[in-house]
Amino acid sequence: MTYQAGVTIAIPNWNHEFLLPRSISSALQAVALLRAEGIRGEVVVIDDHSRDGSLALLRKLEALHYADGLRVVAFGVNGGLVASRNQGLLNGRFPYITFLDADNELIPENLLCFVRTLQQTNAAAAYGNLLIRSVSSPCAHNVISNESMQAKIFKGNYIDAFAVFDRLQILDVGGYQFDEHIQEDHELWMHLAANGRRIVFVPVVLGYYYLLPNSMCQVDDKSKPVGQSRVDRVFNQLRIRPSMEMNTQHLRYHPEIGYL
Amino acid sequence: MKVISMWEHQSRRRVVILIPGTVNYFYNQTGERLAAALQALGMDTEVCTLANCPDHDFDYGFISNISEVLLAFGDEAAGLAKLRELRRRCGHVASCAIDCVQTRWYHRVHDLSTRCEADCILDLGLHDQSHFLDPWSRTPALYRFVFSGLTPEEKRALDGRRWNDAERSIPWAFIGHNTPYRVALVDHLIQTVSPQGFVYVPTLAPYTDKGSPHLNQRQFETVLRHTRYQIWCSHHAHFYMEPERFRASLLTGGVPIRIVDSRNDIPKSVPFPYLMMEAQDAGERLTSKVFSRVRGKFQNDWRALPTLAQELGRVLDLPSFVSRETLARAG
Repeated sequence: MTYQAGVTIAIPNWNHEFLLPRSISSALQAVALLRAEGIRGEVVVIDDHSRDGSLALLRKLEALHYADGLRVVAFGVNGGLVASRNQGLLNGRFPYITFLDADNELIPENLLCFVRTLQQTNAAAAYGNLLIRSVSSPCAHNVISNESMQAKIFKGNYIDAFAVFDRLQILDVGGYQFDEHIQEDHELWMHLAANGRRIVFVPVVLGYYYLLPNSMCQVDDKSKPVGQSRVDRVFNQLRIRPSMEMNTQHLRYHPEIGYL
Repeated sequence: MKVISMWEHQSRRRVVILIPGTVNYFYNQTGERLAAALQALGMDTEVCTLANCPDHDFDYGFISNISEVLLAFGDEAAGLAKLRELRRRCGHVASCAIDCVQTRWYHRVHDLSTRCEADCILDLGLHDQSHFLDPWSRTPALYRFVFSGLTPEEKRALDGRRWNDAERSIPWAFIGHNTPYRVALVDHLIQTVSPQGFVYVPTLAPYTDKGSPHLNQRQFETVLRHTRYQIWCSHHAHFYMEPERFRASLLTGGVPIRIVDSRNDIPKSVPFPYLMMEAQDAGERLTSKVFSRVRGKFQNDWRALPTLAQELGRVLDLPSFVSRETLARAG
């Protein structure tokens, strides 16, 4: 596989047939804008054995937009979100990768800001504000991923996986890991932070996070008490993590300004 | 009875300015600005926390947000006792506020200022809020509006500055703790002005100089130097012109834009009415084409307004600040 500079936008999909056009459209617009800046890009949809009409739709969209950079990878059996994201990491053609959930939407004009941040900082990941919209509201009403990395990440996750990563650094640390008690994106953030990788907050809106009835952050996490024990056992066994300064503490960066 | 201005005799008045020290940095900053302005009036100033306040007498005492001074002190009752004791060692004490008078934060400042027997509350703002005061608190001797003009150093910095707008590549910045209304406004700005705005909306927390999720003053100014329009709305429902934000944009060469619910909310007598607008007008008005012109007008209009030293001199000459001894001598 040829290694070229650029960005892969990976969209894991499982039965989001009606929402795929929005996420894919925003991703293709982002790729077009990157190409205008001389940065290559692609959109890879990883279909995790959907049973609704997703795959049929995806094949049609791929035929229409292959030249625009759209590819589809389809699993023969359901592997789960971790497997989908890791497949995105392995299948990406370019050094940087953005994970965009199929029910969310990228702001195409702003992806370049995050790419430039990674280029300039050599960080493992760059994330930015995600405005939360609900199905019934005409505008955003809340925000996540809106603060820099701090020790409180080991108490609860406030950063979504919808971010831009240095693909090779993520593969180097082992990619996403399935854990019965810890959500995979939270696990990766803690893993990166604990291993001294730099994670940079970019004060720009990266995209929209749509709250749907079955959105993962709306699901009542009955395993939470067990999850925190698991987090403590893996990452904070002596309960000293909050008093240890991380290599990635409060890293805030804007490519037009530098570090703040 | 002739009121003698204190400038007419003894030139070196001794002033103590109490700051929180911790909690929110901008009240420390306010204290430093007061000190600079009072020094320009020929006074000797000491800036300190309540815990470190010297034991000797002063002619004037200023408290830069009594609520936060007491919070930083750690014991409200003991702190108030210490302030009353300071009041006995000072000729006059002014409690200073940078708050909308219709909010609970100002009501608390008023309550604490009364309990510590302050002579007045100085509202360091951009517009006189006396007509917004609750009737129960409308005690003329207590509220005083002081236009929060520039210190000598700020004035020199502004007069000597030539702006390099080539660095100003960020179309707008929205900085402040998040609320549902603010998030909706950010969404609107992304859709109508530009998606490439600088957005910094952490969860509410103290604005400390280090270690806070919020930006400190240096970081805030760094962002504004790269930004054309600083846009914000208050985190409460009342009209208020946040002086720190207007001044920060002035001194970094940007344009402050205060979003209001309705233009009818803007009192007729306030400065810079053209810098306040409804959200629906932002897309049409906040363009790069008009930026330099609007900035020029803003800076010229501010230069025509009094400095902080001039305003403090005006307020401190009022009868309520003249000591009984001075009045007695004046006969």
